[in-house]
Amino acid sequence: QNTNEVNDKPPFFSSWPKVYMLVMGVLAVLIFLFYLFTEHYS
Amino acid sequence: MSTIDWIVLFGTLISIVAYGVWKSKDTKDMDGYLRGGSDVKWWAIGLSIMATQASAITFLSTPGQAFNDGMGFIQFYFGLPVAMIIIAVFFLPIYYKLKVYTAYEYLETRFDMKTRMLAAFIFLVQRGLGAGITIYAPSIILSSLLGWDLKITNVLIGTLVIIYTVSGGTKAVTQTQKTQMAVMMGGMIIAGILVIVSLPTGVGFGDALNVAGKMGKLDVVDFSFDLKNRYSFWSGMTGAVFLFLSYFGTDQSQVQRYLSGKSLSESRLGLMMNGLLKVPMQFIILFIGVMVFVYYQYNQPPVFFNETVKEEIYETDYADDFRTLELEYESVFSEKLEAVNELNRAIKTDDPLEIESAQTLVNQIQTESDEIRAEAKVMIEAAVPGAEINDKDYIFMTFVMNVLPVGIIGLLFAVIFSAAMSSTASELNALGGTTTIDFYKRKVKQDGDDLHYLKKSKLFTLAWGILAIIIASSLSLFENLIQAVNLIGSLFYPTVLGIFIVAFFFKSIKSNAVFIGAILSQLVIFLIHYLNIQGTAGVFTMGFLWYNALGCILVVLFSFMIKIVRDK
Repeated sequence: QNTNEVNDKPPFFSSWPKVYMLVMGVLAVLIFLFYLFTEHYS
Repeated sequence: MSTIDWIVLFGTLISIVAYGVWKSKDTKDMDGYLRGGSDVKWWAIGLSIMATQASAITFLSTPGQAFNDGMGFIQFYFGLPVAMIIIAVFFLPIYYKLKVYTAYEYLETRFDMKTRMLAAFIFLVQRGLGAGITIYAPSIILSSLLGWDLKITNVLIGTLVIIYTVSGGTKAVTQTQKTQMAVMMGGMIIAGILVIVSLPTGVGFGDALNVAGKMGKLDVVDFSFDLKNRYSFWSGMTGAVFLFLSYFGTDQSQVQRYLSGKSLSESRLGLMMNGLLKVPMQFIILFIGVMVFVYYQYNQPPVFFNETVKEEIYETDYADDFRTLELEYESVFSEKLEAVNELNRAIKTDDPLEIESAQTLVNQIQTESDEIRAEAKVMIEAAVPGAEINDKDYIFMTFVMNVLPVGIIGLLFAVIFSAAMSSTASELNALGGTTTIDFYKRKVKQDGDDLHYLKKSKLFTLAWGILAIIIASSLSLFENLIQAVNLIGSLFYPTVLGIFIVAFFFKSIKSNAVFIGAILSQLVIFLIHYLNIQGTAGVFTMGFLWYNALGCILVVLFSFMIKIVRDK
């Protein structure tokens, strides 16, 4: 049988929703920067 | 290529294979062979997921795509982080709780054996053919660039992968993917820096960005809502999410990567790493393509980037016409060079009217230049029947071979080979595992011991590897087979994703309802695809990308309707 644990808190953060919010936050910032980049150079 | 380049290329490839075999030499059981011993760290999982998705075509086609159409393709990846979160929240905990080796095992627990077999069978057909393409697609380009025989290139890539994948399984695949990702990203970053350094004296990075922007190559995001627009913010956040859900959530070649984690947390974090890094990684690759485009605004580009095909046309009656076209292309280039320099000067004046008139002139000449390139392709098609006239896959490597210094050329070829190998390895590893777990162990021999299944897994992995090489070597005989295989993915994956979505989110729907719902949905997808080919789809006119969303929704709807009818 596989031995990996299922009953396990993310490292570095207090809960998983915070990790997911960080990922979506980074995506939102990237898209905003891409928007500024597009506007500036077009 | 110089001797140093050959040493760099083969030194890198042989080191990676040897490292993979050495690091996995203690693989003695199925857990080690199919799940890397269940002790893989989150960052190694993240690298493994990224290396699996990054095939050779990623590095060959993507810069060419940016060269032709600009950066808009990146929007396709906006849906990836969303899909990663959905998989981390809903898919992963169930896979872990049930301690499955393959995603399809779960379907038997949730529904029944026939649903599991259906999904596993679709995976084997699609990925088995796909592994052949993963080898063939770069092979045809590399053999042309290096002057090698196509079949020998196929066998070389296939054999290198088979050596470590068969001997060490998932452990070998994960270990080699760490080094392959380092080679890939290191090589591309060096290439990116060198492209910028290669720009002529007096043309700074800012000038390069201005030229690219004014020529329409830096339109990264497009918020306009138009279904016909393949790459927009909206298609990335809707259709692409479904595509990534089916690829990362239900395709065993990806599922196997994150099921090898030490714990649920490690696997989740690996998925998040992929979600965070994928968009920036694609940005870098596309940006390199745009910089190559700028380089060729200051240096004469060839009218057609596939040298081998160009040499063939010189041997035909069209040779003189083609040379005339090349001269015309050169004179338009000189005209454009002056206009580009004028544009840079205008931008420095900050006068909007002057900038606009310079920009209009540059784009007008660029259109002329594109028309000559299109004419050259028509001529090649007439002169060399069966020649591939889409040369975008050759643009980046032609630049590398003609412009970059000795040693770096070998490194960039190692990047392409590494990408081909890392994707193929994951595919063979998953094909061998699924054949053993979902078919052999389930249907043929249920009472074997661990060592017996380990031997069979190695045997099946080897068989799939040999089959992939045979498919790759046959592909050149069937021109449209590649499109056919890609089409199989687009046609069948929506239904498989639909089955998984019902499994995870609609607990009241049972096996027969979802099985019939899946078959009905599949028939509708076939019908819509047929109508799209005929051009009579009406409101259902759509690109492949949208099949995923539609098929998935249809499975849910049909299953629900069947359940309601049965309950009555």
